[in-house]
Amino acid sequence: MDLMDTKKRYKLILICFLIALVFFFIGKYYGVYDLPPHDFLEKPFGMAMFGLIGCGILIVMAKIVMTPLLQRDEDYYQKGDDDEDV
Amino acid sequence: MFELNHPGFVFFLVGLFASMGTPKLRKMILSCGPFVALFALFNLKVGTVENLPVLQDWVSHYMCVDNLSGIFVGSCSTMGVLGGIFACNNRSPLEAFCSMWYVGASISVALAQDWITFLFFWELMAGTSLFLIWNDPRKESRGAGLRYILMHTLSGNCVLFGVLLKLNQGQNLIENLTNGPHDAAFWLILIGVCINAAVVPLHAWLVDAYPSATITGSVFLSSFTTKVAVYALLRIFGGTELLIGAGVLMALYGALFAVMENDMLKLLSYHIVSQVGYMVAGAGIGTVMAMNGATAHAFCDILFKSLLFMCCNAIIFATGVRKINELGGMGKRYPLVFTCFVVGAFSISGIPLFNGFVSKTMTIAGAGEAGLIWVAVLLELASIGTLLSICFKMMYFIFMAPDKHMAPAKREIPVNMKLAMVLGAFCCTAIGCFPDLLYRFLPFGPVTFVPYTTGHVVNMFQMTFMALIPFLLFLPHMEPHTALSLDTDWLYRRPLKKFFLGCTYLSFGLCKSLGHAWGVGTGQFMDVCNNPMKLLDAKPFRNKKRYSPDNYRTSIADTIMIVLTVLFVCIFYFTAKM
Repeated sequence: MDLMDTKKRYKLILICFLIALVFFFIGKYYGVYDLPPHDFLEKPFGMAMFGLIGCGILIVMAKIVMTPLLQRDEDYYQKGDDDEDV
Repeated sequence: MFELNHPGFVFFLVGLFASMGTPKLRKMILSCGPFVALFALFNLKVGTVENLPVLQDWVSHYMCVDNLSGIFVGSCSTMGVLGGIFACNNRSPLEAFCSMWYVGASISVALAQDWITFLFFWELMAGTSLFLIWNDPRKESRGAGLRYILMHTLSGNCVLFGVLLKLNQGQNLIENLTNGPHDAAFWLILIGVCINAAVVPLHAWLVDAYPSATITGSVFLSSFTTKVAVYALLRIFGGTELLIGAGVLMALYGALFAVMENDMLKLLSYHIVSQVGYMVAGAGIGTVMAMNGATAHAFCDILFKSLLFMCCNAIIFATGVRKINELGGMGKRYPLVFTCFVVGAFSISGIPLFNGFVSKTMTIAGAGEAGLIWVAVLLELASIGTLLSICFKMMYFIFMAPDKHMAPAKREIPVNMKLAMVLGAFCCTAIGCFPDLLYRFLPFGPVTFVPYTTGHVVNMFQMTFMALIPFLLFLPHMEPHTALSLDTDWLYRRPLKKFFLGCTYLSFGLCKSLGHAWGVGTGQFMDVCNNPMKLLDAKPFRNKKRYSPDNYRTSIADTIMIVLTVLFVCIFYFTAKM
């Protein structure tokens, strides 16, 4: 399948980063980061970094760790089974 | 006697009439009947209590309206209306009957005030929902339905024994058990409710059964069983700390498994587990904000999850394809479905202006307010998982990626399905834009949480756009493959099944051997009984199978000789004496 080409993907990545940056400046303008933060998520750009790293961790966990460990053929439960009812 | 002001009973009647009518009449009843239930709901007043004497010593408190039951009845009735419209073209009278009775039973659980009525409708819910799975003609639905009912029988029995213990203690009415003794009744009811809430590791029935249900059946299934269990957790186990960990685990587990999944409905089923995790965690935290957040999220989840199920089922209905890697380009082909899916995806991901934002953020803020920062962080991480698998993966690979021409259009999506989707999308957006529509009904106290602050909105958008970056980076690896993900059901579908099969063969073999031994033993015993002289093992008797006196009788000459001999001996003896 022709997924998005690399050039287009990098262009989109740049746009995403710029939009996140715009929201950071909006937050700064409205004084979102003026109060002392309760946790790292409330720090300037904290939520953005959490989104970036969190999403990366989830992809790595699911695709690199869990997929080879837990994925089997679709007929895994039917293989060599005469009684498929239970 | 009771009046017809119980929304659940209205659904029972709708189901009954719909199953008896002609297809045209059924269509009309299913699309209009649930509105009567909504009308009954609007006429309900908080504080209404209605009883029905059933047995001499037992009165059923079948309707008790308070703020908590009211909001759950409201969400179930709304979903009943949407589901009725979506399913009104259904040709199966049994499915029409079961779907409406399933809604009615769910509402009745929420309105029940005593344990026995609660249990009765709890079981009715399991029984009626089963036929939404078994009504699907696919082979795998048979096994999935059987596993589903086995798990729900386990859940029902746990609740039953817990309820019996409660009744034995003289507690007839449902109450919060968290502050009471943590006895056997507490644990049994908790386990029973947790099975229905799909708490990990007791969740596999959900991911197994919901994708195996009929096209309209899975829309109903996605909305009721787990949410009614959440209602039970909030009412009976609100503040039980054990649930916090269980909820966080569910939220992360569901989100992670969804990233791997290829089947659209299985992916959404994992997200039921994930979203219910927020509610379970909220119930466990037990503060006003967390409990209100859990209730609000249950209400919103019924709307956006059913909307997502409706969109995916509409595509399955039109193309017959369920696998994400066989789809693509659906956005151009079905723009209305795409628009509604976007609303559902934004809602479940908690994007501002959609209902998930006003409920999910409240639950997470509840955790933060209670000082459970790590719970809040992990729930945020799970929400990134939702964003990743639904907003990015599903939306891109199903609707926006190039069409692979593996899913030809077989049927037109009917108007009733489109209408149900549009109404669902409207509800999601309306609550997202005007959260007070929902907040004023929240049952655990006044809502102090304000979702639309600059901080919340800015942070949410920042997180969303930055989370998109890894997805785009890994895009070539993100496409799912045709495979099956092993889950906890592996335990009872493989080793436990083999163990039970082994036990069956062993007992069968034992019975056969014992039977053989018994047969041989009794045969020999009968032989001996037939001919006890065999025991002597004397040659003339050995080969005689049955006893016959002729075999052992002496000849008449011998007898005469013996008698004459005895006679002569006696004569000689007596004559000699004289």
